Amino acid sequence: MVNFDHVTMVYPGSNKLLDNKALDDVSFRIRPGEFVFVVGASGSGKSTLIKLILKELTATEGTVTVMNNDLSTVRAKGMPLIRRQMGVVFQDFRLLKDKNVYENVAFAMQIVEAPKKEIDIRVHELLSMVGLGNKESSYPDELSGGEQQRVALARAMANRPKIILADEPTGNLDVKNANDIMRMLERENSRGTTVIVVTHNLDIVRDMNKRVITINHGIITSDKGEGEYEF
Amino acid sequence: MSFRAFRYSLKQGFINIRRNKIFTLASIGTMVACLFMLGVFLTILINFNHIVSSAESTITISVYFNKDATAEQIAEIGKNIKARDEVDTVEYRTAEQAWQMFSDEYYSGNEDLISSFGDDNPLGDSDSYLVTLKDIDNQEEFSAYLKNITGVRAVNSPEATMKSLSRLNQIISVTSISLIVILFLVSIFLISNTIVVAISVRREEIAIMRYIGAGNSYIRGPFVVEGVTIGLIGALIPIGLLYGLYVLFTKYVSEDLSGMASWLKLMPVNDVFLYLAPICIVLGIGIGLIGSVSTVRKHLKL
Repeated sequence: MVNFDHVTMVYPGSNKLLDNKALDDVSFRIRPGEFVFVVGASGSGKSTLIKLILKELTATEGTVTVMNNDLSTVRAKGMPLIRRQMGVVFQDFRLLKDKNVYENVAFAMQIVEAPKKEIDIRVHELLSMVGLGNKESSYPDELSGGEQQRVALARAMANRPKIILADEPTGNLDVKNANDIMRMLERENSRGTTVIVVTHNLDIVRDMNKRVITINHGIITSDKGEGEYEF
Repeated sequence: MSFRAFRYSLKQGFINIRRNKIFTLASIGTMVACLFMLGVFLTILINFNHIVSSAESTITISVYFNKDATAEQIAEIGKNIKARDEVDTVEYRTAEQAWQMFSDEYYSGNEDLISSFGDDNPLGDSDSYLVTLKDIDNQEEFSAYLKNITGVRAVNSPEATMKSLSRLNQIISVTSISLIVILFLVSIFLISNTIVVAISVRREEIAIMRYIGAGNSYIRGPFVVEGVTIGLIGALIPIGLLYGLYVLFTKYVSEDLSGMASWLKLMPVNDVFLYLAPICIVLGIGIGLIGSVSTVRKHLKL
């Protein structure tokens, strides 16, 4: 589903020779239906990894393959089609502030030109799934952090993506809301969706008991399967 | 672009305009000023061309024949002149017609003076062809041709007047077109600035749209709608202003400057705006389109 093959990332303006590599010769393979945590300290290269999967950045060396697409060969025009098969959740929710809860979720389906009726059914289904059936007409500013993240998750799931990428999804949430979000991601994973969660919240990683890739200074220091990770 | 994307772009474009009221108004204001100036120069250009062509149509070259020229020779000369591509009209005028016209023009009201000539025609032997050309620029060359025809005694052509008119027409055309090009570029720059501001205001929103897989038409479309709308409004306002001012000016010329009206032959308002309105609208939309498309291409790398 996602394959990194000897990927090195050096940000423009920094010097590869001076060891300013955000990622250094990183290789791993995530299979369809897997739930994977990517952990590491701030600045370790976790977010770079997400940006490479979304092709927000292009690898300096090596190959990033997502859903059998070598991203180095995908042109800018073709990227939206790939992104539509990925749902993205961010720490800061990133909801459209001038759209209400319903419209935020519906928008993800509108841009893929889903029929109006289908959008209506799916959005209602998702909002009741994330426990926000009664907040359809609320605007993001009227919601708590936990509620906003639920909307973001509902939006990420709207087009039934093959992959969900979550970048620090619990970073701004209390323990209860963080657990709720993780349960929702787990439920989505049980339906066959590949889930990649970047986090530094080790409590959650411990509770979930999934595959964990650890990055330190741009290098993968460990890649442990379910039940192998120790604290 | 699908119909749904088009509808979304329209709606979002108008929302952008409402959201960036100040910048939009500033852009429309400067567009109005630019297109108004552009319209003024175009109006001057259109009218000057009209005045010049009216003057050109009245300027004739007179061709006189040798005293011993026979009717056949004169007819042959007329046939040769008519066959030339640059010739617009050819009219044969007898000496009697020439004297009649001269008398009507210069002795009108003094018929007793005319009677003193009796049956004499002071313009005897002045049978002539009066030739008008399609383009006065060919006049010098054409006069030279006429002078070489056998049987032609003299050729009268107002070369100096024609040259001055032609030169003045060129100067006004070049000046107007240069100013129009400068104003056109300034307008594109202004629209571009407004779109840059709109993009920076919506940068976060655009990033979100990108993450959820929105394509070019969804992300760029609203900015193009915004640019085109500013261009269109920026064109319609000066058209209205110019129309009103032109009506007032033509009225002023015909009523208060009646002395100038004989040569300052302004085109009727509807004829001017038959050219001016579509030109301004196309320019307005064009400026909006070029300004917005080039800006989103530069600042919205997807």
